[in-house]
Amino acid sequence: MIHSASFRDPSGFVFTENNEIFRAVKMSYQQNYEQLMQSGLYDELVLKGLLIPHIEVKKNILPVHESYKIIKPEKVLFISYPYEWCFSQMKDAGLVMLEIQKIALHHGMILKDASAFNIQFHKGRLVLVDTLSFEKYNDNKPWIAYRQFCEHFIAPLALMHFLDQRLNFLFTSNIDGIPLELAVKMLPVKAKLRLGIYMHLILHSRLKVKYSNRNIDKFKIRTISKNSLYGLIHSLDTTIRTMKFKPISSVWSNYSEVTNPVYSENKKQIVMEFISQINPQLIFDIGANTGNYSALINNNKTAIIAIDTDYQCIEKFYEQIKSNNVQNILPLVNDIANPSSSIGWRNNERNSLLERINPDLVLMLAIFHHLVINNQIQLNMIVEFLSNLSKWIIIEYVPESDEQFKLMTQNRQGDFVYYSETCFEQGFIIAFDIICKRKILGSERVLYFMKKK
Amino acid sequence: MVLYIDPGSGSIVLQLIIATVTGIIFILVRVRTQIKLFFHRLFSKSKKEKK
Repeated sequence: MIHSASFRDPSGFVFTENNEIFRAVKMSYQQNYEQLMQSGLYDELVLKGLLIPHIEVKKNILPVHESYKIIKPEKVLFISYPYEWCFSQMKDAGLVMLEIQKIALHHGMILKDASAFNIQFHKGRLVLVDTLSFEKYNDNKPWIAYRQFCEHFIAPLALMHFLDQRLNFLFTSNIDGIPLELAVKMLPVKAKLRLGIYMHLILHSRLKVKYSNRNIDKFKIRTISKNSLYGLIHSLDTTIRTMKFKPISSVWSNYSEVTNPVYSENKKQIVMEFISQINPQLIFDIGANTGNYSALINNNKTAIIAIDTDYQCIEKFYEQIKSNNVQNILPLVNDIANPSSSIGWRNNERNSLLERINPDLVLMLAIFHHLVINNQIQLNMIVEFLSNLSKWIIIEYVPESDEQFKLMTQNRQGDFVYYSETCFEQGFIIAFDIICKRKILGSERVLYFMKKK
Repeated sequence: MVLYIDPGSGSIVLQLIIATVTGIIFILVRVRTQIKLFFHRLFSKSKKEKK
């Protein structure tokens, strides 16, 4: 089956067969593919962990005259999208793309595509997953993906840096990158005074309008030397590096520091004890905060997709993972009450969060009461959702007597009369068997370990 | 050359301008680094010889 997002590239396409991913390379890409493989570019990129490794396989899928090769790339465990990344994830992805471009030029090739969607997290690193992104570099030809790079990286990073991290959400309504003129309209004056931002966004957006619908072949000067191209890459690289994450205190990013240490230590012990009973392959940590609990599971047999709505938390979590070189955890920004939806052509190009995730175990620590209180999601809806999602769950119940619960409901008394431990258990036993329940020391809270019936 | 993304005429024009300027800077920086490296090597050699 041809992948629904794989229709733009004339060089080939991605297809799945028996749950395995393949990429068909068309005859028209033969010369480029040969250069990629024979010039040493592929080997260098794979060695540096910048390109997804692949093997060539024998399969018949295309009409004979069109088909050149079928390759089988290493499978990426979870496909994430730029609108789910925090600032540093976005920044690292942009820098990786430029690094790849530099190496490609050394080997006489150039990136014909600079889409942020082609960069994925794989074994704790950012890699390019589109093997067919390269083409032979023709001396003195400009970089055709320059505008795409600015729309996919410079514009969102500038908005996130100068205004608000949440603005990469604009990607969900602009699948081809954030329009330069839109970014320019929003940026403050201090951003416009930065040379890099001025050149790659402001001047860029002006010239885009001025020269729209003009045929590029009619321009007298249309050559660009290789050194100039390195200069351009260097300038983009500097522009990205000068934008830094600015920590602001959010309600949740300091949450783990203010909680009772007895409570958090005991909770860690219980969570680990539950998890060790089943050895799951994929854990989905909902409301992961800064990853205090998922970071405990640091073994390469268990992969963890950890989500939180708070950008500051995911930023902290990501930095921690990066500095400790953790490979099995991927933190992402997402709201379980409003998860990423499917976007693109026929709503099928970029899949929704729930279509992409298939965990063995769901961790929901101190999040159930938020769904009930803040999002007004009823118990039976949560139970049904979880039973469709995973075989195992570890869920924390926060009682009405809890300080946090009281704080959240202080102005809404009477709204939660049916919120009780008994109701909670009665609701869950419809779809789950309670394997174990433990009260967490230093609190009134209870941890449940359940298995789908 | 098959293009499946629109490079944008304005983007090409801008690229030519930026790349020319940054290209010159890039070369200058490289030359500076090489000069620095040359002197660095020269001095470290003479130090070794003294020893």
